[in-house]
Amino acid sequence: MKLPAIVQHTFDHEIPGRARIRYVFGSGLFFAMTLQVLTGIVMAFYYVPSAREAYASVYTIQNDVTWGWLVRGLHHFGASAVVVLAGLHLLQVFLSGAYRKPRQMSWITGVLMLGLIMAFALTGYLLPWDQKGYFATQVATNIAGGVPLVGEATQTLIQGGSEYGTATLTRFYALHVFALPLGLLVLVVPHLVYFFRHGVTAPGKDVMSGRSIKFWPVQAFYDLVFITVIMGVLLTLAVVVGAPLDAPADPASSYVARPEWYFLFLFQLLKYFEGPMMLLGTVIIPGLAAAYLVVLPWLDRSEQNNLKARWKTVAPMALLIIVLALLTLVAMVQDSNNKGFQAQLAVQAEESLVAKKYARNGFTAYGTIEALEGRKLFRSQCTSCHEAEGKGAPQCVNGTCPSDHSLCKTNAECYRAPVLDHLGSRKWFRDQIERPDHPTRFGNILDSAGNPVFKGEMPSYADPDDDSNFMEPDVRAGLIEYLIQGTGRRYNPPINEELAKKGEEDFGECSYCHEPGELQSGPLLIEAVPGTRPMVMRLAGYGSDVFLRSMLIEPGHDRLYGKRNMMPAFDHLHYTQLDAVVAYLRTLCTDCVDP
Amino acid sequence: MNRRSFLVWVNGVLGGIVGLLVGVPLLGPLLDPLIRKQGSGERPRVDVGPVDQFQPGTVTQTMLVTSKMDGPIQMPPRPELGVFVVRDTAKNLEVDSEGRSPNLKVLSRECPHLGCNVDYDKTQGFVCPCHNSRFTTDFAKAGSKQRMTSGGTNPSPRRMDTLEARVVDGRLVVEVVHFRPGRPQPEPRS
Repeated sequence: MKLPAIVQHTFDHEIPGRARIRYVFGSGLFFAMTLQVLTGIVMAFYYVPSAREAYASVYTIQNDVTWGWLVRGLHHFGASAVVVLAGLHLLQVFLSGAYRKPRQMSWITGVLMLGLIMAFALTGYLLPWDQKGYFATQVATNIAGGVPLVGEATQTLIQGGSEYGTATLTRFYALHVFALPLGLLVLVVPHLVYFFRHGVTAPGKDVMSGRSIKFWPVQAFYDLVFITVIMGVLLTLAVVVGAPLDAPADPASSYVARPEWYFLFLFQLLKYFEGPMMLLGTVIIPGLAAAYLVVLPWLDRSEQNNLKARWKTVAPMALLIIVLALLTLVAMVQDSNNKGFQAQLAVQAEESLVAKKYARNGFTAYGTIEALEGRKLFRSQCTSCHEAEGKGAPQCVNGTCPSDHSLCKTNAECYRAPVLDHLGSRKWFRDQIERPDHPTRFGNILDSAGNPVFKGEMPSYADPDDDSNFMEPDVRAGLIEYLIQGTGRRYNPPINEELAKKGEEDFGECSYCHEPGELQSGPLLIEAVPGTRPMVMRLAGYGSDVFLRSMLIEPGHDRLYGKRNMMPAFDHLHYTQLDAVVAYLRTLCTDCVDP
Repeated sequence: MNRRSFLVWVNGVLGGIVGLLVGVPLLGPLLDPLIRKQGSGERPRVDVGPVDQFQPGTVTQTMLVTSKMDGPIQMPPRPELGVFVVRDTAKNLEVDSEGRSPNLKVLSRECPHLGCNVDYDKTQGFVCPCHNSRFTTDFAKAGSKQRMTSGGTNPSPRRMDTLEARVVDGRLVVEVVHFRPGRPQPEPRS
């Protein structure tokens, strides 16, 4: 079999003395980088570099595409593997003194490629457009912006503008998948050409032996075993741990960013320099370290390989490695001892789980996860009165209410509007029938003079001592079944049609106060009829999307709460925001099965 | 087997293992469109408006608007398919109990030849602008290849495709189906 010349040359190149395990790192690094190229190309079949669609496309790779999570996992851990192997390769080359003449070109191209590898890591981190990538990369580009004179222009160039957006993403994408690989190709060719010209740097005794062997098959065996181990570790990590995907980037959120572990030393270095000295930590010290590596071949011209004889270069290198390791270690220890940070990490982990859960219903055309946006809006705009999922109005501590609840004396009195958990579910309607005056329902709604608005208006229909109002449980169950039809949603267990029919008949009892109207899905609000009777809408009725949207826009409409309404109108919200809040409120229904 | 040829054999095995470990995962995303079920499989039904807007003896060009998933993204309603609503000259619109009418046909604008959108012109009839596929305006035989109104070759392998349409509460509701071009018989694209 005739092999291509380059392969034949690789197989035949001579190794002085014997094959050694220490020579495997270059091959391992080459393999890891090839894996990055292949997994990267495959992900590019799905990835969309746009601020609106990037997250959705990465979400799809991670959750929908066949084995997408596996390929993304390999790429994620492969990136760490490249950094680790580059470090080991550099260290091995350094220890064997292979940076010196005549191999200085291999060394310098190698050091430059290390810079490219870091650039790959930096640009790739932003691409998912999740919280982690967004905030960690912000730090990096702000560091670039802090450099005197050229900083601002540099940052604008990198970001494609004064702030982050699609222009930033397309730039990072173009760098990550086109420019940097091209740079790598340009450097790796001379790196390997010089390597094949001069061969490995063998220990003195191997050179002295005068014997040499070919790369194939013994050294190739060592290399292949190493590569198999690398691949095994990466697969295990990808399957067992998996690549992380945070919640989508939200510039207004409080997110504590940490860089990937291999950048922690730089992150830690920043903590020690303040004010004008910052430049020392961000640019000057890392720059000097990098410059040291580049000029190493000219600093050390000794002929000896003995480490003791080379102490003048070995010592600074050892110092550099110790400092790097210490900085990384201190960063990790500080974070793990920081209770506030650990608590924040837990919050962030929960946020990404919520994002993942809501994203199962798809993304909007704006690339947002509707219910997630709604949840944020709810928590910023609605929770001064309403509570849901444990977030909101009362927040009483030991029975004491916050200052704005001046009327509150006990915990129960702190509620000022219905708690919206279970909204639209059977439980919601059951609670309304059984305990309408409960503080978590309508009992605590007060007018501006502090008088209750609804309290005492609607009796409990589950009180056996109240002969005039008591309803048998099966009657109540029928009413509930009838009323949940109005939300227009699907339930688990499904709606019992027979029971609902009975409920419809029994609803006659309620029509003294509640008008059984119909709300079609077309017009936003139905025809106005003066009156103060709160209305319960059938079919597309109470609890439906149209109802919820109407409550947001005009809760004081005659067909809603009319003159008794105490809720402000949210008609200033953009329609996407209204849809988002409705989408979030939909998630609160505990026995609904549709999205 | 000597040591060298044993090592060569082991190297081959190791190389093969690594190649599989790398290559097989990559096949998943690459072949995903063949592996993963796309869409819900349900054909959306689209309301194209009150049925009386389609006057006797007219051909109306309109479109079917649907709201689809584009990958993970739920798209807002957008035109998906162009159609012609063709009504014959009978004054009265007969509608059977299932809402079907013999007086009304909805034709897909997608040319059965290679899928360009067919145009309609009162004098020329239905003509595809790409490769001149022609279809007669004669309602009874709309799409008959045998009844071309002019000479020349006609590359279309079949008549224009008819979509399932029903009258529901006085409105015309059409089922969205795309047919494979180039086949002698209409075959829905799954």
